Amino acid sequence: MSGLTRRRLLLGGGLAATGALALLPWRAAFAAPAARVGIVGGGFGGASLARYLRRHDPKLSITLIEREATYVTCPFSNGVIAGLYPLKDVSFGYGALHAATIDTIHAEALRLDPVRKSVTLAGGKTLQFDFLVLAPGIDLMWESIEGYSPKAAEQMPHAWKAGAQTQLLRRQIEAMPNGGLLVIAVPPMPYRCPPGPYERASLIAHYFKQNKPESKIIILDSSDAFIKQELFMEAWNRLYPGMIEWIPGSKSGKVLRVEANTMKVFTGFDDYKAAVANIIPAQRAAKIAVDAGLDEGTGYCAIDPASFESRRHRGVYVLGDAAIAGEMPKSGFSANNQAKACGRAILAAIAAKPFVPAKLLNICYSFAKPDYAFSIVDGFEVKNGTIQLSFSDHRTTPLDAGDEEHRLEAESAHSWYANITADMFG
Amino acid sequence: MSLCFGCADVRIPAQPAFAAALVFWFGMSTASAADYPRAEALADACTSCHGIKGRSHGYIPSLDTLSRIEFLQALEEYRRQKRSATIMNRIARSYTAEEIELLADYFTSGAKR
Repeated sequence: MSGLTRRRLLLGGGLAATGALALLPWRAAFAAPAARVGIVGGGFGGASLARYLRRHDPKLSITLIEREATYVTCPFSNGVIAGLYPLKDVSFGYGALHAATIDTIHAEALRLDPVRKSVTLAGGKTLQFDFLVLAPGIDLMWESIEGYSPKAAEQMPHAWKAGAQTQLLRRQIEAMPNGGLLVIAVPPMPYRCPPGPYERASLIAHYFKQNKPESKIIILDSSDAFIKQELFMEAWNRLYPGMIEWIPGSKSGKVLRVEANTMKVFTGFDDYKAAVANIIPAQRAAKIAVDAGLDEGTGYCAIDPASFESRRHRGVYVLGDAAIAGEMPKSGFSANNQAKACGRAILAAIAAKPFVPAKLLNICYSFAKPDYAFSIVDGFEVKNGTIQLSFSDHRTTPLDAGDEEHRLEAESAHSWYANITADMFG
Repeated sequence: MSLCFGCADVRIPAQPAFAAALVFWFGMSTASAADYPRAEALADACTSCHGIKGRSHGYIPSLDTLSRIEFLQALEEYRRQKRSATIMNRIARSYTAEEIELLADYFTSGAKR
């Protein structure tokens, strides 16, 4: 609720009650400085929160700290890898945030003090806030795969943080010979965007079918099952028969070691010589959250499921991929939805009022080809202090859906992307 | 909450005045104004797909152009699995009939004020 609205309400109430009360909010409105909210990370969690707070309170002091001047979304970045559209189509600047008087600082946040609610930037400047929100996303655990490193990722891209790595994988896919082998290594849960590796395999298969029909894709998986598995496999049989092979963890699918110079990928049982190797390592909350102890040694940060306030430090909030959000997956949709939940809690805390917790949803589309998509729909509720699914049946597009249904799901996915990115960057 | 920024002496006004002010401010006509925070808490999730204030780009329908009756009828039919949809029949199971009423008030009158 805006400061103006609050003042109007309070004045109205004061007149109805006593004259003396009416004067107090007048003083509060003009004497008290605006609350200062600091947000680390300008992705689906952080940018959504900044915009949400500004839409509800024109006076709030909002600072967004984001290393990059351009944000490249992970959602829809698999289409860039498959050559469907260029990277600029999934890239956004922060101009609309500046215009909305959100103080956007493009600098690296080096460390934070969760008790003082301060953030120290590269260069040494320290900023102090009343509310500190962390939406820093994930860090890759290079040590989870022997031989993998930032340097090895220049030969064997992860492309799990969209940007230069996305373009590198695109160039390698374009340059590889017809008949070459693409290996995709899938990390253990929990990781960012659980259906992402399988959508990536699907869209690259679409490119191979048209351009390199002798090529094959092997998915080396740490797990024995994956989200929307039946829908992906139905699509692979329909669209790309024989092109994609999936090896689950129990059949030695988990990648243990790589050799970037020989392009070899090793599981416990086999080794693969790849033309292109997309190695996605295990993940945890970004370093800045872990260094501050917000993960309490677990790799991800425990939060209150209504407010997303850290379980460890009052007045510090954690959104998106870095948080432990029960059965809510690590997705852009989740982070955007969580930002609104957190925004409600912060606005209520500033007004010293109770709040109604936000409805939590996650809707996630995956593409099997440009005009063939399917979805999973999750409603959540808070039970026993954690976020749990409201229903477990009929969450996905039905099997045996027709081409027209898949085409409309693809249209929905594009419409969703346009709307959610407008919410953040438009 | 301990953080009050120098305004710890501010009191929330009595409920009737509070409700009256909400009605005035948000121009709501049908739902009780005390329900506005509940409606908003529900509606924030809708806008992730349907756009800010229910104004959508592309295939996903805009909500702010629907009449209250159209909104209620569609959502109630999705909720009861009586109307086919790309995905909305699956999502609508997350809401009670009362919550759908709140959302109808929010998008078809509140958001259009």
